Amino acid sequence: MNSVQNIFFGIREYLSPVLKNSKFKETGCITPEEFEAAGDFLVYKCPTWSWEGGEPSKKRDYLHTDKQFLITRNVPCLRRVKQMEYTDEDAETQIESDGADAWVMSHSSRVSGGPIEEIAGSMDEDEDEEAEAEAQAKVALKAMERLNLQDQLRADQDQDDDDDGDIPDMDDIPDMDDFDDMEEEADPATLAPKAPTEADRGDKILNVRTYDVFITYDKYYQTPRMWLFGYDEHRRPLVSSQIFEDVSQDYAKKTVTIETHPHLNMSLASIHPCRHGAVMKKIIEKVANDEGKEEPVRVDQYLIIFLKFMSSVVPTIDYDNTISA
Amino acid sequence: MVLQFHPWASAVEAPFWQVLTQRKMDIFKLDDSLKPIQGYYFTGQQARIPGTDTTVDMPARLCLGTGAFPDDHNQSNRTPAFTFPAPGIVKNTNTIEDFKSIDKTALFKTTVDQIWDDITSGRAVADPSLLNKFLLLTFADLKKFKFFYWFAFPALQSDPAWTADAMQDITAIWSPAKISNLNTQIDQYRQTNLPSQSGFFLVKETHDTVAVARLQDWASFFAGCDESQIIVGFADPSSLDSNPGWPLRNLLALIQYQWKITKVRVLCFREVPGRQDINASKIFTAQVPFYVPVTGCPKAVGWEKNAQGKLGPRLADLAPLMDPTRLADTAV
Repeated sequence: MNSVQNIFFGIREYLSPVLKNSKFKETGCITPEEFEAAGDFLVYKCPTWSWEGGEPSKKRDYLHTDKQFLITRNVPCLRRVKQMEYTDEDAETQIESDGADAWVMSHSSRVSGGPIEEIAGSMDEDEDEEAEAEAQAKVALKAMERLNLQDQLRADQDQDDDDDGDIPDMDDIPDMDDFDDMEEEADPATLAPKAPTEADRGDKILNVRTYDVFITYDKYYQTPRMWLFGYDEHRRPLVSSQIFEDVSQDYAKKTVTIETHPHLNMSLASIHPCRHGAVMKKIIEKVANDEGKEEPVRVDQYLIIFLKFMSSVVPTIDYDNTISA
Repeated sequence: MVLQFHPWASAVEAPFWQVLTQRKMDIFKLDDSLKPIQGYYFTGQQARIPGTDTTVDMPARLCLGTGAFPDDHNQSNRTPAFTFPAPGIVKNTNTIEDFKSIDKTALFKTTVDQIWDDITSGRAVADPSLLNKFLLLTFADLKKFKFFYWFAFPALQSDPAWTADAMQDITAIWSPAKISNLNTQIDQYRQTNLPSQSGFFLVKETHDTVAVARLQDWASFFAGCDESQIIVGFADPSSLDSNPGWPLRNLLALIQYQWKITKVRVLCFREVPGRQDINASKIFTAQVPFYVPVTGCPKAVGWEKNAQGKLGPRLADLAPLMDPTRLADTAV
């Protein structure tokens, strides 16, 4: 099934013409050259992002050979979406587009420090703290309602997940007895790991996950596309059901899918780009209108805006702390 | 107070297993001899819990990525920006039985001997990244997409042990101007020297400025210096307020052997990548009660514990990500 689908995606990508003329303001889509320019700007602004060449056999010739995709590694993810406290502005900013498919910008404020309209904040330092505080108060009640709903959703999903058998079976580790000849003398200079104390239990217990985050160029949708690879606190790869715990409930299993990474022979969670163009167009318009400045949004700022947009999908993956305002 | 070091936590990127699989099939085949490999690390980081002021210490990760094997096509990205190299050796066994029965103690001893030889010969003075040398045992179950692995990060034990006073925040003892000066100096140092030099360096403190140099310049750089001006610096993967990271252990062994040091100030260099922020760096004084000339190779420790907290191998199960039959289940 999946391989048929992948072949179809492959052919579809092959047949799609490479976008030549810039129309990012009209459509929210970008050309490969614009992707490269925006990537260069991102790497310049946030040096934890870097370009990679990926699998030599999977190079796309419309992209620079050493600049096939972007990656940032070891991004901390300290809490699951369901654990997030709804203390600050969690307004659902509906990005209007064609009816039912509209993206919901939930917790858009969570990571970027302001609603989506203030995305310009990365370029525009002005912050109206008072207005923000007022808005926070207004949405607090609404957010609490939401929290309950999310718990319920989670409970439902937990049941679904129980039987999907995706979790690696730890019994498969070779018998520990085989290794009991391995003993190291107690070493006073080795710091012992911190044992979790009673105080750490409950809400405070932290499963520190880390993510490697990739951005590729999707030739069919003519937009960037984000991919996630997660690890648990023991550095074991996360399976899809675990990754969905870090995706806003509005998107989990709807727009986040598991597909083959275009530059690695591996399947990763990806935020499906089918609506990216339309949403990016709306965001760019909004930023331009709100700023009301002479200087319009530049295409090299595209990925910075894109990452703010993605923060609403994966609110707990804190790559944003690397982006200097 | 005995100086305690924060151990490494191995962090293998999943695409590394894919690279290993390809190597095994195309190049190594049944060759299970030791192969060079390259890991890397960042300086220690604390992560802030979103929406709070609470921070969490992140583990001191030693990472292996797609650029781990030397003659890779992907030369340009062998060590990502803001990282420091750690050379290692990998033994990939052909069967799970080999993986279990392999003489781990002997392999560990071989690695320790190499580190000691690099220290005594002076090679580690010229290329201090050799102090980070690690050992990796692997078995790749290619049919099931399961990868068994076990890291060892050998650290030479000092007898008598190093002791230390409390670690001080750099911001508590140096002025912002001086810290900024240090940051500039280290930036320059990293740009003008090979990556293998970047993780270990010398710092000379004068009244309100600092200077940075390579380990191999010790004699000329510190000529005429007062003991209080001498600082050894290292890129510290630990983010703990009270403990330095593992690479310092072998660095102390090196400086003790080479320069008969019994007391030295240590700079734990910790940066926020891309932010020009090194305020998390720490300074403390390490010392041993007396100098004992070392004749043979000291004892060493460093096998990594697994997720169960035991000395034993770890498992990366990539079937959900690589196995075509499993992938069909997750397809939407």
